[in-house]
Amino acid sequence: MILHEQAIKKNVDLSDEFLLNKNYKKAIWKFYVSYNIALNINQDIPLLAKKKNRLWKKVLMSKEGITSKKYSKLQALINQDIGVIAKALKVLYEKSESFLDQFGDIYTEGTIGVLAYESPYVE
Amino acid sequence: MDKYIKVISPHMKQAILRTLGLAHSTYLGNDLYFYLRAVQMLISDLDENFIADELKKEGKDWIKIKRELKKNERIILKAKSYYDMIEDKTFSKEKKEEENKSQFLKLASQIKIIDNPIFFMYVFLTEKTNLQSQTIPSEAFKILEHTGFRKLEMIKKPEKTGGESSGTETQIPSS
Repeated sequence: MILHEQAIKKNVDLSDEFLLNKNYKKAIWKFYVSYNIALNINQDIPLLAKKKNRLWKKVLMSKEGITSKKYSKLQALINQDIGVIAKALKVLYEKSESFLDQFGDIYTEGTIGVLAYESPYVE
Repeated sequence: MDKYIKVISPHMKQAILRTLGLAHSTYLGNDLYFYLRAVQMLISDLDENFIADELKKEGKDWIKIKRELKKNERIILKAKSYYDMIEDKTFSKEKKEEENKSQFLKLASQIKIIDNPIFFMYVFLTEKTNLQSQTIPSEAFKILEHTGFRKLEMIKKPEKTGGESSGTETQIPSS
């Protein structure tokens, strides 16, 4: 749960960083790494996987770089896949909530009170 | 709890988390190599029979997945050997190291971008172990940006004003 959340967030952050530096190919790759992890968390069957594979391979393997104009066209396709990542983060959040239900809240009121045994006003 | 979770030994857990840290943070784009390494470590730590049984519960065939992983492993290891030889990782239009670049691209085109078995196994195996509730330590996120270590240059120390010159040389890393 925590590990997957960290993996998705880290890869999305790196993708955004590449995007800001106009390194579009690496941004797309990092985005699809987090997409793949999210897809497996959701246990979804990827839609049009073969078609998408063919398209992104063509984009990433091309000898010409991706210009910002070309990327803006590809952005629409990437935006369709963001939903999968959002869904995975939601699934992970629900899982972590159920995890607390099984083991109970470790930060109960009593545990916080334990630290207050020493009064600051007593010399 | 309704499902059985395998406990991974602390040393192995540390090694896997470090590998995953490299996979998540590499700038070079060879992160699939590190994901594969983490998956291989998990497979070797967990029993293959256990993995086969767990996959069977979800209606998947371990032999088929194993075969796909082997195929990916062969391609990735071969591609990485060419990738390491390429000095210009930006893949600019300059006609340099053409053979290595074309070999690398030829091999990389054989790897699935979407629905890759490495990611499936990574998520599947971590969910079956106590790794799922772990966090990768921040020092494991090493940013692998350059091709290797920086070159060390021999630079002479400036001579002392007192008249005596020191002939010693120091190693200063080039910027």
